[in-house]
Amino acid sequence: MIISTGDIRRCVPSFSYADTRKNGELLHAAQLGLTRSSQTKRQTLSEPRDNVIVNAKVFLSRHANSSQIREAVDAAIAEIGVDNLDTFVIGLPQGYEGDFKKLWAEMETSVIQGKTYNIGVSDFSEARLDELFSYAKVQPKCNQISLDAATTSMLTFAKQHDLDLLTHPVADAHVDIDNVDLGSVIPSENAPTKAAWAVRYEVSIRCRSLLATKGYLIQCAH
Amino acid sequence: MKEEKENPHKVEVLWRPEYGRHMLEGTPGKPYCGALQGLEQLQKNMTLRRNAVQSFLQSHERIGSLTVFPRLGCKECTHPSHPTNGPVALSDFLPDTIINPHFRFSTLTANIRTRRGSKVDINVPMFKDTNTPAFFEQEAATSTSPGSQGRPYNIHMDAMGFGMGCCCLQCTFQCCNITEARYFYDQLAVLCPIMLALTAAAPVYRGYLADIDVRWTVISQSVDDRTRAERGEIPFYNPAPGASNEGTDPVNGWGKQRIDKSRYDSIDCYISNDAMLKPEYNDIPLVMDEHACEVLMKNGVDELLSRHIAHLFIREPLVIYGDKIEIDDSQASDHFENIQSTNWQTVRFKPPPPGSPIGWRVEFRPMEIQITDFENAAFVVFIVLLTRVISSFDLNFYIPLSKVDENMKRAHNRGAVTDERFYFRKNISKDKDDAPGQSVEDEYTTRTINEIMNGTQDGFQGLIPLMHMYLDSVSMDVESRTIVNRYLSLISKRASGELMTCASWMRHFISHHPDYKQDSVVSDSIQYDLLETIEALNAGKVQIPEMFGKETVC
Repeated sequence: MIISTGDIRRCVPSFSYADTRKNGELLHAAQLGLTRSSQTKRQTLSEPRDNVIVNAKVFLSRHANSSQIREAVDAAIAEIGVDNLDTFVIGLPQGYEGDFKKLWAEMETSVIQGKTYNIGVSDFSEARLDELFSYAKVQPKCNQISLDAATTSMLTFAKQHDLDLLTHPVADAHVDIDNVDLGSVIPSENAPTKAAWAVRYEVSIRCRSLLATKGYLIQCAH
Repeated sequence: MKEEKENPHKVEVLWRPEYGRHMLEGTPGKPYCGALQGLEQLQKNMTLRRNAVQSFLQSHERIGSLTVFPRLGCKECTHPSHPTNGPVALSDFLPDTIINPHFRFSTLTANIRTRRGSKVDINVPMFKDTNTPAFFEQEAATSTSPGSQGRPYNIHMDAMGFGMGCCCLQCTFQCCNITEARYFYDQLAVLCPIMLALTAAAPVYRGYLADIDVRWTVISQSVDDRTRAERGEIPFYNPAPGASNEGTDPVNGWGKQRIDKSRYDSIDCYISNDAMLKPEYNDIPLVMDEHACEVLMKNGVDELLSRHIAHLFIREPLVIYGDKIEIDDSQASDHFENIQSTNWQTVRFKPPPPGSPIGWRVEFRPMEIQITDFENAAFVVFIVLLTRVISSFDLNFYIPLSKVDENMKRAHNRGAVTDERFYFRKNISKDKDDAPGQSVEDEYTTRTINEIMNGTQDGFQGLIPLMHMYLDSVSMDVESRTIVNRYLSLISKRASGELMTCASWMRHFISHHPDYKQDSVVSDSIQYDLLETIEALNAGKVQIPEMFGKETVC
């Protein structure tokens, strides 16, 4: 089952900024997803598509596989109610040692299939980026990093490669999909307790820089 | 200004004359567009303006961004000095030459005075230091106003120039439609006292240390054109039909109804058609022009907006140009703008003029101007982000307006930013429904500015953390985010008291100056050194860690 929160912009004041608890943000989102009525969750995009920027980020586990990327993109597009995303970012656990090339190939497929205009990475070092640039058929448009990683060296590197350096929430550093314990939010006995992946999506209105939608999708597992 | 005439669409800065001959108003040439990526342009444009003016000045002259000139109204405070008691202001302290020579300003001054029936009567409490006398000898000789008589520890001022000669920081926002404009107007109105206290930069008037840190009440009193009858002191000369108490003084008794506030003061009614606006929040008795309200409602304007406009129209015009008396009101909005622009409120709701592509705008007016462009940019960015989070997260700050007025009073107090508690809504999220049967009084509590800005332990997020959550959600690039984080860090620390406001620092500077005699007197030498330090700060020659910590301001 997928836990979906619907649009939770209004719930943002209930999140704790810079939540340093492991998976704190995700678990709070999961709880909202389970307690909010389907009526409040229903969302329709009121602005025309070219008036908004639609972004999503998928958080994967150490056992990430390409099909999860495909599921995540499709779920995000369906949930938001659009034909495509503007940027889709991949988030992996620190020290991920799996086959990244395969994952990136799936990211590229989503661009080729028109499901997203751009793809990006998060918390990549210059070395990893260099490696990626060497084989990528579709280059990453952005690298989401924390502000301390925005060294002069990284800034110069990014300019040379026409790569956008964007910020991500402080809480992203504490996301650990492998250790999500849904048992704390889903009380029932036979319910899934783990997560396979999670997506966070944001829709903002161009020019006015207003957030129109923000939500999470969490793919549960046993 | 020559640039503006030649290239109106390309010019980077626009200049406008302001009340004081010693003042300039500068705005960016074009409005900043909504995209957050351009935020570092803000500070650069402000510095551009500062440098542009400086290039026209002589070698011994400087431009500075001060909310109040500390010794304005002291003997020979200007160079060259001019005689006081001129025919326009009749001030015992300020020469008429302080007024911008454009006839609009002197006309305003004289008309306020003549309508009122006396000079304006500005009084603010003086700071009581160890050697401060209850009454200064030199004051007794000049001050005969009713407001200052017998009032110990009082700073008296008697002219519009003391108020309108102050400077401030104003931001105007274009909203996407009238509904958004009305909602921003209401929500920002609640934040006015908070931002006034946080930007405090005006602790000295007429060369005396005051017991207030901000300018607002001084300006309010300086343009108070209400007659004695309107202020409730004597009966009306021409009272409403059927009223029993008819007065005999046509000047001081002029007017139709009691008016509680000066035409420069905080707003008296909320105007949004949002479901969150409960009638109990509009708890200030609203003085209106009844006829104006009827006309508006008959022609399809809803009640809330009609009452707001009708409230503006209780004021008489103060100045009008000969060629603008007879105009086609269906084509030009000069008559409306005349009244609108001489109702100086904490926020201003600005409808688009007929035939203009400009939209519905809201002007945020309470902030004191800071001594550096870094701070000014920080506060403007803060307000921009405030409007973004109000809309993005559907925030609701509504409290009864009487509590907002109480907050305005508290915002004036010396050290209010750290020492005062302000009425503030407990639950600012529209997400949680109010408990059934909860009264309006239960909706709000009192909070310190630190709590409002930085949050509390009991789950109140705080405005600055909310802004960070917003910024996290809109894919900001790292360079812009670094700059914005510096601005928010400064404001966060001013709110917590870790860093001093400008007002607190000025008090500290003055009271530790070798020439200061612990008697609340700010002498010329003290003022000179204060201004020279500010100048050196802006030139990067000195640092003021009490105000900025480790931050560099230029």
